[in-house]
Amino acid sequence: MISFAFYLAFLLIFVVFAVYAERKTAAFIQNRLGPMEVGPKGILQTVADLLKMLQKEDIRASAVDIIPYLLAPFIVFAAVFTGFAVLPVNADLSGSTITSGVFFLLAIVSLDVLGILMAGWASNNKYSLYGAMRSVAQIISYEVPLGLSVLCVIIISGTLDLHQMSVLQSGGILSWYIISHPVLIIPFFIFFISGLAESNRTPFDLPESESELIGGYHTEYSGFRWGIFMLSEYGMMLLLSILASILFFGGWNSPMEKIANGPIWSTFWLLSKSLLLIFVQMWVRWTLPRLRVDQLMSLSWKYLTPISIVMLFVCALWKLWLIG
Amino acid sequence: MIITVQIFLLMMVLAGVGIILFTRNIVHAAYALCLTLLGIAGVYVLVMSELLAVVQIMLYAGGVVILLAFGVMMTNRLRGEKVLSGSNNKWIGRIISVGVFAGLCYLISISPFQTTSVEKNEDQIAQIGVSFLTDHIVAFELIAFVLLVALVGAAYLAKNAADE
Amino acid sequence: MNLIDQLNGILADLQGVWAESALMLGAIAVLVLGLARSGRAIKALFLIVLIFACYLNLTNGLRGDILSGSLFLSVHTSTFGILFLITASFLLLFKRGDKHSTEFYFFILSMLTGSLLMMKANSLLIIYLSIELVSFSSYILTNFSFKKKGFEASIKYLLFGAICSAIMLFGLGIIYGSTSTFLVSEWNSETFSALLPQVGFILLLVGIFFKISIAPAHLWVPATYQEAPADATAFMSIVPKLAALVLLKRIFEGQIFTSNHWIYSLVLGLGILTIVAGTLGAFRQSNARRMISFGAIAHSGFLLPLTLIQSTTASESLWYYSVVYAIMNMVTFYLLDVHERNGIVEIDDYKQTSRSVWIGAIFSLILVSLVGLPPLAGFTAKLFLFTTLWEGYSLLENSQMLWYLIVAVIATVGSLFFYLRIPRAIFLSQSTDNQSINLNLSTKILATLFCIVLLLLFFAPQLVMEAQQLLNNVHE
Repeated sequence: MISFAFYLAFLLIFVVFAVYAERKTAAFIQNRLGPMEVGPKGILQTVADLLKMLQKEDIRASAVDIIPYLLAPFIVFAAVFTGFAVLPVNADLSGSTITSGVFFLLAIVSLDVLGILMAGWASNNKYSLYGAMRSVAQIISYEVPLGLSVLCVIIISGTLDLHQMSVLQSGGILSWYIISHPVLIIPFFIFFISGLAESNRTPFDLPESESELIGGYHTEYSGFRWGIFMLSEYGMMLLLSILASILFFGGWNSPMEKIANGPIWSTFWLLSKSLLLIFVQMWVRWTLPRLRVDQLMSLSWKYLTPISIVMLFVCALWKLWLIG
Repeated sequence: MIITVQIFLLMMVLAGVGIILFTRNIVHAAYALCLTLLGIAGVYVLVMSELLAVVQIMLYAGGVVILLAFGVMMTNRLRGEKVLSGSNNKWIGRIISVGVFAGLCYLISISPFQTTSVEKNEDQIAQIGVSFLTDHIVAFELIAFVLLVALVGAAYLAKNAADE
Repeated sequence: MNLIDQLNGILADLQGVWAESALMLGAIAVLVLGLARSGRAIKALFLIVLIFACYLNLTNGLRGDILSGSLFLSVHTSTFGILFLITASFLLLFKRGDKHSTEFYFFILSMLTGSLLMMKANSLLIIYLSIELVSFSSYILTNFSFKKKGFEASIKYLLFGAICSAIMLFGLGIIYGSTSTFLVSEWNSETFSALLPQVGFILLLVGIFFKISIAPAHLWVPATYQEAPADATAFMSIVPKLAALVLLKRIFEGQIFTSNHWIYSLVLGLGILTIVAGTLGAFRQSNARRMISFGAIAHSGFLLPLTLIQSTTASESLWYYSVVYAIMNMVTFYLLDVHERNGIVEIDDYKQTSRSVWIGAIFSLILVSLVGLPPLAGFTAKLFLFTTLWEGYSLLENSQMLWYLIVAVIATVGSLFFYLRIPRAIFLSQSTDNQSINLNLSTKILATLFCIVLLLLFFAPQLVMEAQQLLNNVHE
C-alpha cells in the first residue's frame, strides 16, 4: 500500500518534470533553447501549462456517447496505474505480494486499450475513431513480443514476483540479468521497442499523429480529461521503464555490491535507472521519424514476434545449460 | 472487509449483466461484458485462484472483449450507422431463458457440488505448469494445434476475401 | 509420483499418439511446402503423411488408458483410425485445382487429427478440444469455394457450431463440478444418478450430436454439404461423424445408464426423429447434393442406436455399416462432383445425361446401395442394423427399440422414392436436349471399381470383419 502511495505521488511530480525534460531534450536535439521564460531556465513552464489546462472549459460535443466519453480517461489511467501495484520501491518496500506479479501487471495494463477504444468510439468523430483503431491494433500486436520478452526473463529467474526478481539480482552490476545472462540482451531490446509501442510513443505514435489525425483518440477532449490522458501516457512510460530496470538492470540494487545500499539509496538506484531509460525514450522520439501503419504491423509480426519466440527457446536452452 | 468486497463484486457482475441484457447498443454491451468478467476475476481471487483471475483479465477482459468491441466498430461505425441489435420472438425468448435460468438455479441449489477447500498456495503457478506438461500434455499440445488451425484459417479467409 | 516417473510414463505412452503427431507435423509440413510448390508435390506429401500415419497406427500395440487417462485406445480406435486415413487418401481422386490446394490439405489433415483424437478421447478436455479442432477446419473448408453462398453456409455453420460448443462446454462444467473428474473412464452407474449431472450429460450430448448431425442439431447439414467443395463434403460427411459415433459408443460402454433410463430413451427418440427428419426432408429437395445430404442425416439416425446397444453384434454392425457408409458416400460425392463439373447440379439436370449409360448405371447402383437394397453392401449394412435392433429389443425388452426398428424399415422403404429420383431422371425421362457429358476413362473405371467393392461386400460381408481382426493384430 505504501509503495502504491509512493508511486502515485512520484508519478504526479514526475509528469511535471518529464514534460519539461521532453521539451528541453527536443530543443537540444533541434539545436534551440526550448522554454526559457517562466522561472529560471523555464523550469516552471510546465507548472504554468498545467494551471492553464486545469482552468480550461470541459468541452463536450453534443453528439458524443456521454457515459463512455466521460469515463474513458479514468479507465485508461486506472488500468495503467493499477500496474504500479506490484512494483517494488526498494529492498524493504515490495509492492503487492501476489505470486503472479509481472503477469498481473501485463494483464491489467492491457486493459487501457479498452479506455482508448471507449474514447475513440464515444467521441463520435472519425479521426478519434481511426486513432483508437490504430492504437488498439498496435497495442494488441505489440503485447505479443512484449510478453514473450518478459517470459525470457521469467525463464531465467524462475519467479513472477518482481521483488523476488530484484533480490535474485543483488550483488553488484555483474549480477544484473543483462550482464550475468547475456542472452537477455536481445529480449531487452525487444522489450524496449514494444514498450515504446505500448505507450504510443514516437516512432509508434500513429494513434495520435497530428499531421493526419489531429490528435487521435483524444481529439475531442479538453482540460482536465485531456490531462488525464497525458498523465496515463507518461505513467505508462514510467511503468515500462521501471519494469525494464527491474527485469534487466537489477531493480533497486546498487551497481557496486557493498556501497550505497540503504533504502533511500536503493530507491534512488531504481528511479535513476528508470529515468535514464525514459531519457532514451525521449531521445528516440526526437531522432526517429514515425512509421507507416503497414511498417508498424510488419515490424511486430514479422520481426519482433519471431525473434522473441526464438529468444524464448534460446533462453530455455541457456537455463538448461546453467542447471545441468 | 471480505463481505464488502463480495458485495462490490456482486454489484459489478450484476450491473454488467443488467446492461448487457437491457441495452440495444452492442458497444455498450461489450463494455458491460468487460465489467462482468472483471467482477468474476475478483471472485476467483476470493477463492484463492489468483492465477485464474489474472488469466481471466488477460484473455477475456483484455483480449476477447476488446477484439469484440474492435470488430463491432470495424463493421458499422465507419459507415456512420448506429450499431443496434434487433430482437425477434421476444416473449418466447424471455420465457425460455427465464425457464432455463430458474431450472438451472434450482438444480444447482439442490445438488451437492464436489468441493475441495483450497488454501493459498505459493506454488500454484508451478504446479499448474507442471500439470500442463504431465497430466494434461495432450490437451496442452492440442490447444496449440487448434490455435494454429484457427490462425491459418482466419488469415487465409481474410486474404482471399481481400483478393476477391 | 515424482516428476521423472511421470515423464517416463509419458514417454512410454507416446506410442499411442504417434499417428496424430505425424498428422500434425505433416499438416505443418504441407503448409511449409506450400510456400514453394503447389499441386502434385502437395498431393504427394499428403499421401506420404497418410501412409506414414497409417503405419504408425497399425504398429501401435497400446490399449486402454494412456497419458494419465487423457486418451483411451481400443480395437475401435485402431481400426476406425485406419478407415479414416484410407478415406482421406481417397480425396486425392477428386479433381482439384492448384489454387487452394495447400490449405485444403492442411485443413483436411487437421480435421483428421481432430477426428482421431475425438474417438480416442477419454478426458472431457480432449473431447471439447478435438470437437473444436474438427469444427474449425470444417467451417473454413465450407467456405473454400470463396463464393457468396459458400460464405453464407459457412457463417450459418459457424454460428450453429459456436452455440452447440458453448452449450457443450457448459455441460462439461456441470459434469466436472458434480463429479470432480475429467475422465470418462471413471464414470459409472452412480455418476449420473442425480439430476444435475444428467442435465450436464444432455448438454454434452448436444455437442456430440452436432458433429453426428442428430436432429435437432442437423440443421447446418444441407447448406454446408451443398456449398462446400465436393471432396471436403465427402470427407466431412464421413470422418467426423463416424469419429463422434465411436466416441459416443465409448461413453455408453461404461454402462452409465440402464436401458430404461430417460436419457437412453431420449437419445433413441432423437435418433428416430433424425431418421424421420432426414427422410422427409429429402423428398422436397430439387438439388442433388441437398438430397444426398438429407440422406446422410437419415444415415446418422440409422447409425446412432448401434452405439447404444452393448453387444458384439452391435460393434460388428457399427464397423460394417461405417465401412460401407464411407465407401458409398465417398463415391456418391465423387460422382456428384463429376456431374457438377459438367453443369449438372439439380436433379432435373440429370435428364440430359441419358446418353452416358455406363456411368448412369453405376450411379444408380450406388444410390440403390444407399437405399439399402440387394445385391449391394448397403443392404447387408441395413440387415445388420435391423438384426441388432431386434436383438436389442428382445434382450433389453425395450419397446423403443421395436419402434426404432419399425421407423427404420419404413424410412428405408421411403428412401427408395427420393434416392431413385436421379436414376429416374437419367433413364426414364424424355429430354430433348440430350448431351453426352464429358467423362474420361479413369472416372468410369474408378466408379466401377467402387461398385464392384460394394457388390463384393454384399456377397462376402465377413471380409470386413476379418479386416477388422487383421488390422487390430498387425502390431503383433
